Amino acid sequence: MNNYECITCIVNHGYTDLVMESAKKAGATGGTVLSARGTGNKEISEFFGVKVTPEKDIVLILVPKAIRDKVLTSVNEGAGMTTKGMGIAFSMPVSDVVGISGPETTSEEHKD
Amino acid sequence: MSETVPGRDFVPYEQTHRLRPLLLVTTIVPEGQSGYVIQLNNENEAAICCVCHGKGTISAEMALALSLPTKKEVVFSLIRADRWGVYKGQLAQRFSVSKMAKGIAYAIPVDSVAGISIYKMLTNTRLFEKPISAKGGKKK
Repeated sequence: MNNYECITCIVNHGYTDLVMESAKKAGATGGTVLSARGTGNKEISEFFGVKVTPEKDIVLILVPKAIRDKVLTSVNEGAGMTTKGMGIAFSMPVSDVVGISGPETTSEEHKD
Repeated sequence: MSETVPGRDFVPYEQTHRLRPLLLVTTIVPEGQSGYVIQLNNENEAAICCVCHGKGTISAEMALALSLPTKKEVVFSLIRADRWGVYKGQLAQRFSVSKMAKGIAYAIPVDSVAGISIYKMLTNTRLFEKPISAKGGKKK
């Protein structure tokens, strides 16, 4: 199995900086932002007959398994439900990766 | 609601047929380069291929200084695990062409699929594939 995890964070539109700042603090290097739309009925409002759906951003961050918990905790603190970003974050195990340069981070390097 | 036929015992599909594991592959490439990725996916029998527009999180100033593209295209595809090795090799070759062609790809194992016919479609399995054993046991 590979040593990486994919952290997915769903936040309100425009708050991806909160996520990335928190993730970078915990050791993540970069991420990719996708635009999305929420489906929570409560948040859908109507202005002059035009339905306004809540816009969301999805941030995909690939991190070494050793720092996964640290990044998740940091993202939850910086962009979690108690912040304006109202984000949720979860991780998925990655079986293989291609295109990542540099040496893989070992668990010993992040044992602080 | 049960799908069993009256008078016949239900035997799970995985006990009578050889399973082909699936992977959800996410490929992130610079904008305008998803065409090649889709072509690779088609060559490797990917049943589903979906392109989304995205952007990298590198700052605009940094991107300009390093002359790196910030706009990305994210390709989600479902491919069989046995094709991943070939696909990975082809991608690694593509990413090494130049700095402007760099990207990343990763695979997430798929645990379950709803519906045998959907599974067969996704794995490109013949519709009437014969079971490996008539009694439901695994072939030794």
